[in-house]
Amino acid sequence: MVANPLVNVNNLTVEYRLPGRGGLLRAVDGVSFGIERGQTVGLVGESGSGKSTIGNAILGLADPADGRIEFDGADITHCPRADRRLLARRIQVIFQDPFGSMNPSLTVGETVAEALRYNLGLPKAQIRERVTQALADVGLPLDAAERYPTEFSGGQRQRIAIARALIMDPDFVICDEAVSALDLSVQAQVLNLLVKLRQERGLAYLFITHDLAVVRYISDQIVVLYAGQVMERGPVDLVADRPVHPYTQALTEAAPVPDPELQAARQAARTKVAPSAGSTGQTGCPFAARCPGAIGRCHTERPALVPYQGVLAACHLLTPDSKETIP
Amino acid sequence: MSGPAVQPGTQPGAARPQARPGIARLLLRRPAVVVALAVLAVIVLCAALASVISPYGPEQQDLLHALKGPSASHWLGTGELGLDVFARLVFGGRVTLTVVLIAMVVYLACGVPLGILAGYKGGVFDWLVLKSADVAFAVPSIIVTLAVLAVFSHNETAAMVAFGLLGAPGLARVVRSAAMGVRQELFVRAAITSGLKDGVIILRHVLPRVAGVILVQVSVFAATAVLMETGLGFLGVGTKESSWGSLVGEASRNIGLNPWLLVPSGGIIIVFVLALSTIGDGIRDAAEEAHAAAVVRSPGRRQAPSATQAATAAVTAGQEPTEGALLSVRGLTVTLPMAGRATVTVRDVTFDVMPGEAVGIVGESGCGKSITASALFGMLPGGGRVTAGRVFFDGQDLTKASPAALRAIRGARVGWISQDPISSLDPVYTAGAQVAQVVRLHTGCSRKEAKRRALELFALVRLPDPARVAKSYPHQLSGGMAQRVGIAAALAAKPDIIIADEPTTALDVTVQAEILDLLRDLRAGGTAILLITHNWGLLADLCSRAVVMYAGEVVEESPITPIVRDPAHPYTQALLRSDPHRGRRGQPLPSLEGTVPAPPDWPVGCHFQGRCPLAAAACRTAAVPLVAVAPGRFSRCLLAGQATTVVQAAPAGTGGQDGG
Repeated sequence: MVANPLVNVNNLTVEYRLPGRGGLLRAVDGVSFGIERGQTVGLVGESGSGKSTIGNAILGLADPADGRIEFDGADITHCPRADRRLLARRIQVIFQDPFGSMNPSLTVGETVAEALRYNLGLPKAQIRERVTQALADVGLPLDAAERYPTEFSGGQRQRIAIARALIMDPDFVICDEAVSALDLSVQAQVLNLLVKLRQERGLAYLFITHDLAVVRYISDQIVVLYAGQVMERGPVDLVADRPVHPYTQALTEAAPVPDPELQAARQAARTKVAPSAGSTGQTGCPFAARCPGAIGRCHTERPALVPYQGVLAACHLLTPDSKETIP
Repeated sequence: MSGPAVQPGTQPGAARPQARPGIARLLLRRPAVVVALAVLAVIVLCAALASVISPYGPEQQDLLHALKGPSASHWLGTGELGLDVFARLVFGGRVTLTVVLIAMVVYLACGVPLGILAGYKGGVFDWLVLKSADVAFAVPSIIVTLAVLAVFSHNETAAMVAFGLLGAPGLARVVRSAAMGVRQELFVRAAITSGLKDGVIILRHVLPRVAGVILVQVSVFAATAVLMETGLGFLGVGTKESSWGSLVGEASRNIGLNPWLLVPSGGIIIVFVLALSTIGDGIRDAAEEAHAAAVVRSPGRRQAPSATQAATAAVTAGQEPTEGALLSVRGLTVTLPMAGRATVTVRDVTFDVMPGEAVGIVGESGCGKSITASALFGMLPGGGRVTAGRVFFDGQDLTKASPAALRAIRGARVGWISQDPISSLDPVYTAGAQVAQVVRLHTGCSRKEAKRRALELFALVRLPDPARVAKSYPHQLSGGMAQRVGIAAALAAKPDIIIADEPTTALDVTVQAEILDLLRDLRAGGTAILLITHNWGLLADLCSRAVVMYAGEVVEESPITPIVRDPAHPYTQALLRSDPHRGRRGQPLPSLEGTVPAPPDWPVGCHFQGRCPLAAAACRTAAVPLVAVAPGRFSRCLLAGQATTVVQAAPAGTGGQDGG
């Protein structure tokens, strides 16, 4: 890991109180990773993997039970709301739902200008100028500012959401399933826009998604989560193209590719994992119950994240490159 | 020569829509509300201008004409001591309306902030507000109000302040629920992450969203307050001045001498309360409508007169079914009501499904995939109609079948698998009971037999521990298990064809792979599958033929391998190239600008013309037919041959197939 990454998530643990008699659900369990300036880290996992919770914890929308989140060297783990106002100038978010993330009764201009007006307190003329520029940057028509979100399609709304995030000129943007709700052709438009903005502004992204194809396309580093724990972490060409962890392998092999013969071959070669059996024991590897290669130790002892062939993987079946363990 | 070369409605900047109608505007569209508002305005104005419009003062006695009916000098008659009733109504209105206003101000000033803070902040404060609301509900407000009057004799202001205070927790409770809902909205989270202060978020985002609820509550409360004031007057504990309440009290005292007195005094209260509740109802409806109005309005261009469209539809509609096909769709054209008019949403759809074959309909949202599937077996949503074309199922024309015959075919020979497995099951029955019920419906067997068969079906769809799943309720099942139960139900009647509408979209990718395994096995067992999807990977995995739809039309139909390797239609080409599976890091994804036009905005000619890099004048003049481009392959493109060359010349992404 680099000495001073822009974002440093260290041993993050987030718990939710379950409704009713109040058991605790550990949504995120000891997750660590870093994001350098201008870098894109893909956070992949299925439902319940805790990927969105990690984003929320960085944004201050979820309160970590343990661990530490650093941004540009400063500890923001339990950052109070007042300081969040300053942080909002550097960390922004694009949510999945392009229909729910904008107040339908405000115009696009009002939505995009909100942070400038109420957080930075800029004068009106300057706000107008920056809103016009931001909407132009994301490829929206000039008159978009005076119109309402309902008049736009899903892809256009996602552009509005991007404009709202970028108008603060942040260094770091969390994209929480930002393109998952979009059709292929529109998804490609938005992905291209995100890549272009990344190049122009040196943005760092945390790209949270369940779609391995998207993450493979856009990320430099990938973190694979299962049941709140990191299974595998490393450079995209290794993790996405030559995964070592059984779960990452299962995930990669499960996604069908748009070519019948290739898909038939993949299908035949696929390692079958057992169907998800709900929550597993607290002690061992969370994937043990579904893992085709699980051994006795997998059910009793949680594997540490260790270096293995250029990546970090948490699996008892892999012999680590060295004895060094990573938190 | 060339037709109107209009772009499809992908350019929202082209037409300036008018400002969205706000609640106020929607409210004024309701005649009853307008009348009620007018009535209220008249009453309030009369009260305000009492000294101008009334010929008498409220205390002006006319002892010679006490307790008389209406006359020229006393328009609404007189009461005790010959006091003019009209004068007392308008002057009394001042008193009554003032105290009602006071009650309302107290009610709002306490209820709204408490409710919003409780809903937005939650925690201990929320608990306190809820508990105090419970206590306030338990206190009979009439008794408290009377007690207040016992202390402040005949002081209605004090009484109504107390009444407002007692009502406030109820308002707080309603506002709290509404505010809690808004708190969960993504746009509030977005505002928080933008670093806005809570106060700003509440004023900008929360308060406007709960305003409708508040207004409804206030109108109800105002009506109650008027009744309370009159009640106090009737009991004689209210104000000693003229008010509507004291007038009612007087009327009831003299009901034997002059029953007429009750008419104006009671009438004004009835009219006033009715007006308030009409406005309250109107606000509620208007608020609902304002949210429902969240639809994209088309820039106003009308669908092209479909003479040419109908003509081509008619040509293909005349075709006979393919020999031996299980399902033969010919020129299927469907209209749905959109903005009050029947609009063609699916046009001239033709394809076949052979027995045991899996065919996929693929396309983006809004292309008519699902509508096509529901039209096949007469399951169109309300107002939808098949206006042309035929659907042959096993040789029988379903467009001519009776509803009963259709129902029989749907139940016995067609299995449906929906996108949302959990909500497609009934939450109050166990999974086993639901599947057994379907079995009984189809076979008429005994309950016990049906139960046994349900367990068999659960084993068939490879549910782990079928007996336990059978006893589970839908909410206890994971998405993957619920979808298996859904498939088991679809298989209950041993259908010839399964229609699966995005069956895995809501599922995780590893679960999707399991469901795909299952569908593949079913197909191998001889069941035909019609898969509706936007995912080319699913199509490649399961289907042998693909039907690509764009803006209501089939633009390409082909066996699966040639279509993914060498798509003929420019839309198919663009769609496949934009798949991130084929993307190369560091290179932009070949994307397709614009969006699918909505049915009212379909252009004359090729529906894809507005986004097509090849579009020429000929594409804009007349509907393009679906023509064979190779054996078994069809494309709806005038330039199909040239299109192939464009693909080969395309620089990026076409050849890149990841090994994954």
